[in-house]
Amino acid sequence: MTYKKAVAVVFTLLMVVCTASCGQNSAHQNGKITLTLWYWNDSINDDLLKQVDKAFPNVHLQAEKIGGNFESKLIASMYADDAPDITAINSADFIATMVKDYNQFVNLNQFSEVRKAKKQYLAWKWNLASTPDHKYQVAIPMDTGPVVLYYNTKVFKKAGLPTSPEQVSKKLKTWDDYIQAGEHIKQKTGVPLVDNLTTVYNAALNQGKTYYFTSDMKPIYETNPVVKHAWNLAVEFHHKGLSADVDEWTTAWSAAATHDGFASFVGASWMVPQLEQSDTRKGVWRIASAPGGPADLGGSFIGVTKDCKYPELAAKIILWLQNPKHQAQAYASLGLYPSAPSAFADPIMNKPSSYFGGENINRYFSASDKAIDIGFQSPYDATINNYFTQELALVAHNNKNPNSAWSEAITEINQQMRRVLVN
Amino acid sequence: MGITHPDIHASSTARVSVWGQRWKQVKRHRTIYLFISPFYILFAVFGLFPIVFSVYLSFHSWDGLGVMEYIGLKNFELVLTDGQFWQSVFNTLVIWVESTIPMLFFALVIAFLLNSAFVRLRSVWRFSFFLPNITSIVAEAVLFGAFFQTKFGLLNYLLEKLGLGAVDWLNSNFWLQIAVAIMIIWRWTGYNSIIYLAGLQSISEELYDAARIDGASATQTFLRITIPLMRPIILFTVIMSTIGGMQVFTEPQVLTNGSGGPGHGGVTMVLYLYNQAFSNHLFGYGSTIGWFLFVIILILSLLNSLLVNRISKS
Amino acid sequence: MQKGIDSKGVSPAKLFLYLGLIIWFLFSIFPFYWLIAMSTRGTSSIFSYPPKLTFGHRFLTNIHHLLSAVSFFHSMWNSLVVAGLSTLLTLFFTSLAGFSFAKFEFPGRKSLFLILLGTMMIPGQLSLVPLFTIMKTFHWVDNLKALIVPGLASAFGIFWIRQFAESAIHDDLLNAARIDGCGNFRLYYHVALPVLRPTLVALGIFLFMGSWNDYLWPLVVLNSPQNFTVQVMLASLNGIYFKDYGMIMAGTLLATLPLIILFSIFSRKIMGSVAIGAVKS
Repeated sequence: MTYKKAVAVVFTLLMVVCTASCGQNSAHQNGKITLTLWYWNDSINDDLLKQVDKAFPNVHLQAEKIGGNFESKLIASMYADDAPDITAINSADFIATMVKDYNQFVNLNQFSEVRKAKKQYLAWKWNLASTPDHKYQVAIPMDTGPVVLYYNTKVFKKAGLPTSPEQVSKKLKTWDDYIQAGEHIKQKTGVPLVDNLTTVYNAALNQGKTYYFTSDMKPIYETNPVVKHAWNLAVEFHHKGLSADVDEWTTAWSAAATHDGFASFVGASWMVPQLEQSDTRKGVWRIASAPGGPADLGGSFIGVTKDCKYPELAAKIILWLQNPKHQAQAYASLGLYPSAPSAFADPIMNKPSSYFGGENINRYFSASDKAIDIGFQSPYDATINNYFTQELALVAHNNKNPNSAWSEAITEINQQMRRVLVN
Repeated sequence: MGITHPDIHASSTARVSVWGQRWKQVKRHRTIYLFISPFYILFAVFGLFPIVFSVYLSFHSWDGLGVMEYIGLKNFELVLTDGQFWQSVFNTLVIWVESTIPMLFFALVIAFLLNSAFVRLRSVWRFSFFLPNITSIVAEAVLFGAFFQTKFGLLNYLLEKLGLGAVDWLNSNFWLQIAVAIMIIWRWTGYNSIIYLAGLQSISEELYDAARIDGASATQTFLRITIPLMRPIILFTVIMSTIGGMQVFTEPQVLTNGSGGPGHGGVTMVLYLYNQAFSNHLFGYGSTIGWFLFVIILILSLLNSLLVNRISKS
Repeated sequence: MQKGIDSKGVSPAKLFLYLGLIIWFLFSIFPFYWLIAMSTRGTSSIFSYPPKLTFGHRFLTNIHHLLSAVSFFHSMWNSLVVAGLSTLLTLFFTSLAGFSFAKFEFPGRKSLFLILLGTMMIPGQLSLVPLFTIMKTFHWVDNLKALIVPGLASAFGIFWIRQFAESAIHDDLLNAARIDGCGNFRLYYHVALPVLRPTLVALGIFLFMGSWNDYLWPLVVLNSPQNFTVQVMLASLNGIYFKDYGMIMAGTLLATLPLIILFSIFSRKIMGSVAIGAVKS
């Protein structure tokens, strides 16, 4: 090889680097408009996404499953003006952040289709994605997170407790009833009542109407009795030895579910497939209404970003993806509970589940969902919640003194809020 | 180079000629400057400019999407009083000590074993001891994460079998730091032992023979000959593990899914920077943490070189 | 003296020696064995109690799950592109500069080299945030270029090559070539490169491994899965698909395999240069 060839090789390599760009932006490809969509595992039905190209013949939808920290990746892409055309937005906490940065999104209110579709969805859910003046609609609702009680009939039976959903719902109405039953189960079988303290804390917190900030952004996380009650309740579970201390979304949780490691847990509908995949035994688990009353544990939204070149088309696609029929299907396949009430009556949602003892579990979800009354959520709720639940984990795992855990959580939150709100 | 000492009393014409000559030299070597230029250009763009910009950023509050706001020294004040930041410094130091000391000790022992005359299959041993070092830290952390599971984990099963009782590896600060240290030890001991082995092999056999003729015991030979001659190499490994130890990130990040554990025991300095900058989107604050990190690493490097000087003098 | 006797009989010293070696051998190798064993098992049998250490028969199922969940080979390809391109180009730039610093007297050589050494002292994390913002201005966020270009002229590489080139390339050889009318680039290409080849191979392996295993920067700068390198993909798998541990282990195995193969081929070279680097400096 002569040196001239060598130079040529190096320059070719440099050219390769220069062209090795895999940016993703809406582009025409053989007459089709390519739109990108970001979602995470089990948030939208993969098959439904594949059908978009058929339902919208001029569109090629490139759906990308984002792993890791979805929120930080989305914000990074918005910052780089390289956001996907359409994005799912996880949880009520994150939608608050996105409403704060509403100019990163297309105002969906400008499209008549969206304005028309508004009444299909639960009003409280819809409003979570609007600016306070209701002029700017950042996203449309996907699913909601009505909370129910999942319980292991094998363990309940062994402890001499009722096993039918009606009786369980009646007997475990309040948190106190629930704790009493837990102590009983522990005595009889040695099995702890719940999976971990965080699920207890979150359920109790969301049963309240106020959380960490008032709607005019006054911090109340330290003084709000709802927060304190949720905290004390979780601590009580710990003191009485009623928690198995396995975190959700871990292998340990799956293993514990299979091995009767906990007798029950409170959770939203997306725990249905989690449970089914973790513990393959049929008829062991059943569902009743949650102790302490209904609550919403979150649920997602989907919006169109400012970087999208075909916003109206994208808006039509998200409406199609989230129409009541498709939401009902998402419940059947992924356990995502609809935000469009007309879907609740869809036959596909009311099939008896052989996994849950042949019962139509939808009655408990829909009852919980209809009774939800949600409070104000700030953009910082997720951060704050993290500090509380991490301190709770220390109480659980390291037997940390709950009082000092509480005060450390408050100190850390105060510090972090100072950092976030500097100036 | 010969051209860089112009006469102080030289006339201005002489000065011009010196500079003229120098310019000629520069022109003669223009292709050489071209050869070395890529480094300086890339450093200016991707090294120098970011540093200057990070000074600017550290005086601002910025979430990446909104407007940048000048806030003076507020970020520095916040870092100084940030308990979690100082905890991350402490965590990093603890993990560094817990990993470096056993790692270098075991490496030395293994190097000695490998260096003894009658060991067989030396290349097989060397190969397998070095193998952990070529796996990625992500793969290592995924794998060890399964070992360290509190319930149904392999390690706790063994501990229970041995009657030692299970350990909450991923939830207690103390054990999480040990877990990270174990991963570092697994990955780097073989690497360091290869270095030590090379050092041992470079010590000439004659020195040992001479000592033996003088009637020195094995311990004496070890303390008087081996250790002094190995000293520069040991120092080298200490310095390398200090640099590496201050930058630990991947192990705790993957092991704890980014949180650093409920008690933040796995939050190292770099993980804290990453979380504040890229999870909480506090870019100004993240830049300021970067400066503190720089100063801490600088201080440790100075201490290191001080140590090197003192030891090489003694 | 005593050696001759020792090497035949079974002495306590020898026993101790092999015991030590075997213990560390097990500690080093067991995770690899376990990784392979787990990638052949289903999740439920991985977390059975007591743990099972034998092989299962679900390896292909796990691989199938892996490939249908994520575009794993695409990530492997991204890693290969990034590591391959950056290694080749870095070798070119560093050998050019290392050769220049070693063999040419030019004004400012000393101070320029000192600056170069000084840049090695700056921890990369200092500029993590601003570097990310620069990538935005270049529109390189979520682009493989962001992983390749910034490190193309590594100071460490230049230093390494210069150390070697100083003694390995003889001045007479260069002078002879000069008399033949070779320009500086021809000197580099025809005289320096052949001599530098073994060092370049060693450096190249290190650069490749470093790039392949890099995690923090790709994690920061890459957003969409189609651009993920294999390390980022692996970490994200671990976060989402926790229920399918067999699949995660299969992915971990696949991601580690290329380097194990590389190491098996070049193990002597790699360990040799690790040792030389330390003993020389």
